[in-house]
Amino acid sequence: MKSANRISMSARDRVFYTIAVILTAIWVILGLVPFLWGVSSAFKTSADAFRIPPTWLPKIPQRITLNLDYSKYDDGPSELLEKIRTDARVIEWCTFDRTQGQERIGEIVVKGFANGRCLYKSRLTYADYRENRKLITATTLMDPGEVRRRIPAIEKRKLVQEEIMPNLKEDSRGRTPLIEKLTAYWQDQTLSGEITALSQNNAWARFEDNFKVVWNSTNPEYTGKLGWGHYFLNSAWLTLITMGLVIATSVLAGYALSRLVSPRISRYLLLFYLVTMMVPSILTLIPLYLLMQKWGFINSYWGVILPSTASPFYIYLIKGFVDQLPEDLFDAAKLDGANDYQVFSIVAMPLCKPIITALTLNCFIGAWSGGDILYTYLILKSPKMWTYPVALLSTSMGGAVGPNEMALCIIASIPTLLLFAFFQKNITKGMLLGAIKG
Amino acid sequence: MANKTKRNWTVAALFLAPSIIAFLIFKYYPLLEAVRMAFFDYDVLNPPGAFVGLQNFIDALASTQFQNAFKNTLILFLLYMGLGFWVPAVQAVLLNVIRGRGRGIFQYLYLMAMSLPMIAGYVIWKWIWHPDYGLANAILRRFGMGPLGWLTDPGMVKLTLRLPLLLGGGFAIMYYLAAIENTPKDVYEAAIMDGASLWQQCWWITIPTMWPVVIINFIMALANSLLVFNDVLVMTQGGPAGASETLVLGLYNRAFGPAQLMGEGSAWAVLIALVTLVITSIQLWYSTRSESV
Repeated sequence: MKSANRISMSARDRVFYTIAVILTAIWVILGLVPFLWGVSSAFKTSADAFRIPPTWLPKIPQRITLNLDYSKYDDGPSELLEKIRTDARVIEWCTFDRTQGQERIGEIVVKGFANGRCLYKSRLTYADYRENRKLITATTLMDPGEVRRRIPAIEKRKLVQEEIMPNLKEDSRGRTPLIEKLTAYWQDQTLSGEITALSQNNAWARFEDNFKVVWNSTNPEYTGKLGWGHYFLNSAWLTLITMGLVIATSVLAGYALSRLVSPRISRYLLLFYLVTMMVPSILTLIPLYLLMQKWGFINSYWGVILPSTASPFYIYLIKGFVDQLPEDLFDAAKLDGANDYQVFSIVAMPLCKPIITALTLNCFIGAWSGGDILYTYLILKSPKMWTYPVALLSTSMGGAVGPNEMALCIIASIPTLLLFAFFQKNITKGMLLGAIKG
Repeated sequence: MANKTKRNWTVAALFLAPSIIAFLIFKYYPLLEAVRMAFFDYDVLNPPGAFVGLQNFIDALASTQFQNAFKNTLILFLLYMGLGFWVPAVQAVLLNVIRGRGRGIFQYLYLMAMSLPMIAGYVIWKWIWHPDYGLANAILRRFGMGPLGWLTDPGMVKLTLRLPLLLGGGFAIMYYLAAIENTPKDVYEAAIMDGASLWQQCWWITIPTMWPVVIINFIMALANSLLVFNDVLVMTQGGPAGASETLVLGLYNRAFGPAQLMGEGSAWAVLIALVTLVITSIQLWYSTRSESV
């Protein structure tokens, strides 16, 4: 803010200026509301998101820590450990089952003590619970007896992180409504050990479980172990290859139009390219689809990539850019005996860097967000081949959407966000080129 | 010399070949094929099937689906004009007034809102319009107003689909800003010397310089308005009761639905393209005219 500017502003200018700032600020904030609402929803559990009225912010996941004392037993170490582990499983699974939908517990930590020494510590996260709950038992609400019967199934899945840490101190007993509730519940159940402490604190890291659960929510038959990562990688490949091929063909054509053919031919060829801009994509959709079907490119990335290499606007912009490069540089190179390929690669390409960067970014943003999504959706039918946007479209098209879809949306925006952060100047410059010509 | 020209030609041919081949196969062939298909009762298994002349066009124009889709598309376009078209233009003018660091920050934030891939943006809006758990009804409830069936009320759905445009943003802002920034600085300086207020600078310099871009955007929006599809596909699939069925959605259902009426679908496509063609011709005429002025 230049102070000279400020001082020279008259009173009415200042009023207008203030109005402009305020209106812009309001508009910017309103514009971010959908995005922020998406972010907020992405961090909620389904139970919190499907609540009337909706809450503005997600609840923070809680860590529940229980201390159990086993001093009264004089069993051998392995029998004692067996008792503690059984208790731990019962506590973990029953507590999650009881509180699901009402409380947001991110993880449950159980520590077993005997004579002041910590013999055992285990931790179960909500994500692990949620993903495996159905596989462990079909019962709607687990009771301690049911958990005890299912312990082999639980142990087979290796869900808990266990450690033996003799030096752990005992926790103190906390006082929150949730703790009171849990204490009351556990007093009525039979455990081998005696609960000496029950505490609750924020477990911020467990927010990531939301994303973990969604991320793995695909059909493994199509995506393997990667879950949505499979679609993310599909998109990344498709975007990179599209970007490379589109830019390469456009640069070659644009350069040739500008420097390799006579102006008359250049004009005709440019017309040949540009006329296609007037053809709406919907007209070519059906024949293109049938052509790809004939070529066996349904469910193949080539079916999506190849048609996108015909990109008239890029050719036009590159030709315009090469046109205005200084002639002397080319002449000098020719005098030095460079052939056409050398002139192109040694002289022209380095000079074309700004436009190539701008168009590459532009192409990336377009391809990443799905390109011509209707066409892509038709070509990539198999869930195995889906790109991220197509998968997102398919999951959210039919029914209602919720926090899971929000998480997926937010993840989808990360690559573009990073790009904006690092290349904002190049992107706006690219648009400048478009605006002048378009 | 003759030798050199000859070599030049092979190089040129090599450079141009990929794009020319791509354009011929992926633009010109489908274009002609689409027009041809529109005259056939297209048979996917035994193409092209029976020649039916103009019957596909007559059927399309006479069908209630086409008329309904056309009407919906038109209303969506009018709503776009009323609610959304002017917003980025105003935002750009206001942003241009702001000086110093604030301007860059605001510009980045406008840009940031666009980082959502298109489909993701629509999915978030679908969530916002949710009748029970959505943000829109939560805000209404706060002001003591009853919940609205944003996407479920046939009378409401088209307005709902276009309401997000009030927030503006989008790449349009950047186009407008780019146009404004092309104005030589001394024009503003001269105006300031003559004692023009900020408002007068906006009215007499900024808005006239971006006006050609506004017009071009208008014509482009007109042409694109016939192609609206993605938001409808994500949020309503044409429902409720066909109230948001657009031309492209109708075409899609026709050609890629169970019946695979590719010929009739092509007729729809040709009709849409014809209207678009007229509009883009106007755009081309306008932009070449404004360039020569």
